[in-house]
This record gives sequence, structure tokens and C-alpha cells, in this order.
Amino acid sequence: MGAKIDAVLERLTLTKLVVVFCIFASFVGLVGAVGFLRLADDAVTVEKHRLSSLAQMKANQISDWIGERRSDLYANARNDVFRELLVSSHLAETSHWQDRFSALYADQRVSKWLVDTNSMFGYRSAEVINRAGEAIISVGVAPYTDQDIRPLLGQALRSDKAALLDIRLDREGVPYVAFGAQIPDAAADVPLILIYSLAITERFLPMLNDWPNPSRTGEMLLYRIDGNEVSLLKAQGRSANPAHSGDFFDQPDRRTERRTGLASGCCGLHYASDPAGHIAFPCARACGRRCRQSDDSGQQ
Amino acid sequence: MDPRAQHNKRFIRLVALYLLASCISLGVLAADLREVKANGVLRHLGIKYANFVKADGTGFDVELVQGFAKYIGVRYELVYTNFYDVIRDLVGKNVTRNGDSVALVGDFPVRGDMIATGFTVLPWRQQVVLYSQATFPSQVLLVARSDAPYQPVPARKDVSSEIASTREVLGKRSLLVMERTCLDPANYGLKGAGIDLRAYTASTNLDEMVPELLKGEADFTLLDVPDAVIDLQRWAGRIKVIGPMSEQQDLAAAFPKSSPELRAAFDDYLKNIRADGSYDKLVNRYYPGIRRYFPTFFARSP
Repeated sequence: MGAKIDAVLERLTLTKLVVVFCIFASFVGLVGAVGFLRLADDAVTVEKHRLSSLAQMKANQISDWIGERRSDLYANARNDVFRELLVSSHLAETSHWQDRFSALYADQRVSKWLVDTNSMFGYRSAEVINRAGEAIISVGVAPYTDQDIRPLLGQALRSDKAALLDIRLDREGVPYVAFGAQIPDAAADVPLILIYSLAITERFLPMLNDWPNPSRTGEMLLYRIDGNEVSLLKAQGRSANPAHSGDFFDQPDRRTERRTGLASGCCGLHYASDPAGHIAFPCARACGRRCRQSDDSGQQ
Repeated sequence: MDPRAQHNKRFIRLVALYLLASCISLGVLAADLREVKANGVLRHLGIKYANFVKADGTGFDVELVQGFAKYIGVRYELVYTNFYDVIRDLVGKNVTRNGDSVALVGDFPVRGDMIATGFTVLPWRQQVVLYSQATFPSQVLLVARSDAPYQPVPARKDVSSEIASTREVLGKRSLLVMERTCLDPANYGLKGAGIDLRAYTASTNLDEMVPELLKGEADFTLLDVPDAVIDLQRWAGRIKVIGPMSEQQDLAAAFPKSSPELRAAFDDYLKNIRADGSYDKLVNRYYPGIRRYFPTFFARSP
């Protein structure tokens, strides 16, 4: 037995040993590489699924939030007491001082009711606006001008549903959204519209920024798409304090790769690179009619 | 010298003198706005009254003038004053009134650049200050306690008839007034008419008129509509409006006679905010419902 072993060892030259070692090492390396690639692929797939789920969840949250606000407004615009006070008063003859005082009282009662709903639902302002865009009753500090609100009035007058004016910046740079609904039963020649506005930094953004699990490089972006124009509305890094509002822009986005995907209306997972050249996976979802949200997970 | 050359020389001198005088006068006129800009601050004279200027430093006129300060690019500063001293604080002179004529006497420190405090446009005041375009409408009303045996006057064909009916209800009864304010009985021909006028002198705060009325100091008092809107909420069920005592009045910001450019800038600003809707929002916020009482004033020009 010992002689056989000696004979084998005698035949093993250094070269042969190296070859055997190389074959072994290559095998181990190959197994490792294949394993790594599969693991990496699995990790990316898991990340993509996670990102996709997260994007969908956030898109649903936004849609639900918008839906709730629309429903609140719709219900309030149809509140019987509110309509009775407002409409009968605004159709009344007010040429004499006593009639004018009665109308004044009626408007004060409407204002009080709006103050109550404002504090109950956390609105920034509530207004009753006529067709000309004139605010006839206002509660709180409305963030928009007549010009800003015109498209919303048009939508509300044309539709039976509550309309949305998506994220805009007020004069101080504070982001807000506004909802408008026609108040039924007003005479056809004097339609009235109820408008609520909300500062989205108070409830909406904290809800949006609250991710279920931490991410080192992920960020939440909000885009608006108007025809071929894509505007970045919000950027929020994950490392930032979720209570913060994030940086708000209202300008065309320069990240062309993302822009191309978003402008073509693609909801789903994309492959892109950020301005620094890092690979990123933008995941886009449509929220409402025009506002789109995108969760990006970057990889270095 | 040739008479024609002499004539030409005289003509050139006259033109040069005219141009010089024009430049100097323009410089003086423009100084008011320029001085405010150079100082970097607009001092707003305000009186705590109704919702025009409130004790917490907010109010319709406060926000209005804050917006104006921003419009001309200077810092805003609120300077509290009272109805007796407000004109003195603006023009640096005491105003003595004798019937329809007024005289400015003495020298006092100027504490503000403009007045905005629900300041009624009155003929005697127009002699000493420059008014802006109207910032708000008003009307003086006769008010009584709700348990008083007087009924609100019925609607008539015009305001003059309604005023006459209100005067009939007032008769010779007692009326609580505050002199040298927008509710001065002299402004409405109530002095020397046999009415039992009871001047309130304990303070210069018009917001105290209703509490005094409720204490039984007089049968009636005067309130203007912006104040009445608030007092009818504050003292709900305890007071009632009998009827109008005046035609519709204008409230406006007031500037020294030497500040026409500042006044012009304010009028521009007012025109802008009336056009973009921010004025309406301000009115609705501080005086809910009042646009229904003055529909013509608040109607937008087409």
C-alpha cells in the first residue's frame, strides 16, 4: 500500500499539481460566480417586487386620499342645510336694508358652518365662488388667485363630480391641492361652486413619506404630466426626516431617461441611470388623472 | 443787442427756469414714496377698532397695509394710536375743528406714514389728509337694546326715507355718542337738534359703545356697519338695529398731503388686489357676509 502511494507521488510533478489545483479553483470559482449571479439576480428581483408593491401601495394611498377628499367635498356641497341657507339667500331680493341684513346673517351662518367643517377636516381654506370666479364667502387663507382656480371652476361646472386641482405652490412656495364641486339647486344663471384647499405638508406628505421598511437609496418623486411636458413636483430622500415636506419644484425634470418613460405614460418598472451615472430602477404608477408617482431604488 | 436775439435769450431763460422748477417740484412730490423706500419701513397708524385693526396685531387693514408694504418692497410696522390723535400722528399738527372748517396747530412728532383703520371719508378730514380710493364701505346705524320698545323701521323706497324714519324713532331720546370719531353726531346733523346726546369719554375705544348701551347709559347708540356686524355676533340677542342714520359712506386709507406718490402707489396696489381676487378673500375673512349688505361696492367691475 505504502509502495503504491509512493509510486503515485513520484508521478505527480509540480506542473500536474498546479493543473489539478487550477481545475479545482476554477470549479469553485465558477460555482461561486454562478451562485453570486443567481443571488444578485434574486436580490434585484426581490427589490423590484418590493419596489413595485411599494409604488402600487403608495399610488393606492394617494388615490384613496384624493377619493376621500372628493367624497367629503361632494357630500358637503350637497348638505341640505348648507344649500338651503346659501341658495335661498343668494336668490333673495336685497334692495332694502332689512333684506340686506338678513342676507348678511345668512352668509355669516354659512361662514360659521364652513369654519366648522374646516377645523373638522383640516382644510386650509373653504370658499363659495361664483361663475365669474368671485369669492363670495371665504374661510381660512385661500392659497390661490382667481387665475389659478379658473381651470378647477371650469371642471366643476362641467361635471357632476368633485374636481381636483393637483399640487401647486402658493406665493410663499407652500404646496397645496384644491377640490371643487358645484352646489346643486343654484339657479342656472348663478351657479355656485364650493372649493376646499389643503396644505399637503400637514397630512398628505407624512403619509406619503412613511415607507414600510427602510431604504438606503430609495426616493419618492411626484411628477405632473401635461401633454408632453413632465414636471417634477417633489423629491424626498429616504434619509430625510419623514416629517419634513421635501423639496418642491414646479419645473421640467432634466432626468431624460425617466422623463421619456413617464411621458409615454408607462406605468411599471424601468431601467435608468441617475445624473451621477448610477443605475436606478424607477417604478412609476399613475395616481388620479394627471399626477404620477415614481419610487426609485438606486444601485451603486 | 439785436431785439430779436434779446427776445430769444429771454425765451430760452424762461424755458430753462420752467424746466428747473418742474424738476424741483417733481422731486418734492416723489420724495414721499422715495423716503419710505429709503427708510425701508412703512409705518401704519392703526386704531384697535372692529376687525380693521385688532389687539393681536391682525385685522383687515393690517393685512391690507402689510400687502402694500410688500408691494413697494419695504418692511411693515404697525403703530397703534387712537381716534383723537390719529391725524396728529400722521401730519404732525393738531386739528381743531370749527363747524366745517379746520385748522392745523402746533408741532408734534410724526409717528406714521399712513392711516388705515376703517377711517371714514369725511369732508373736514379731506381738508387735512389725502384719501386713497375707498377700501371699504360703511353706513351709520341706530342701535338699541333688544328689549327696548322700538321697532326696526320698515323698508322704504329709498335710503333717504329710511333715514327719515329712523330719525323719527330716535326723536329727542337719549343717544350715546363718541365725538371726533366717525360716529360724531356733528357728522350727521344730530347736534343742536334737541336730541339728548350723551358723550362717552371714558375711553376712545368704539368697541365699548355697546357694553355702555347695555348698561343703560342711553336709549340708543350709533354703530357703523362693519362694527355692527361684529357686535351683532358678539352681543347676539341683546341688541337690535333700528335703521340707517346715514347714506353709504366710504372708508379709505389716509396719507399726508405731502405724500401723493405714496397714495398713488397704494391706489395701484388696491386696484391689483381687487382684480386678482385677494381683496375679496380678505373682506370675506374679516367681515363674513358684509358684501351682501353692500352688493354694489363689492361687485367687480366688468
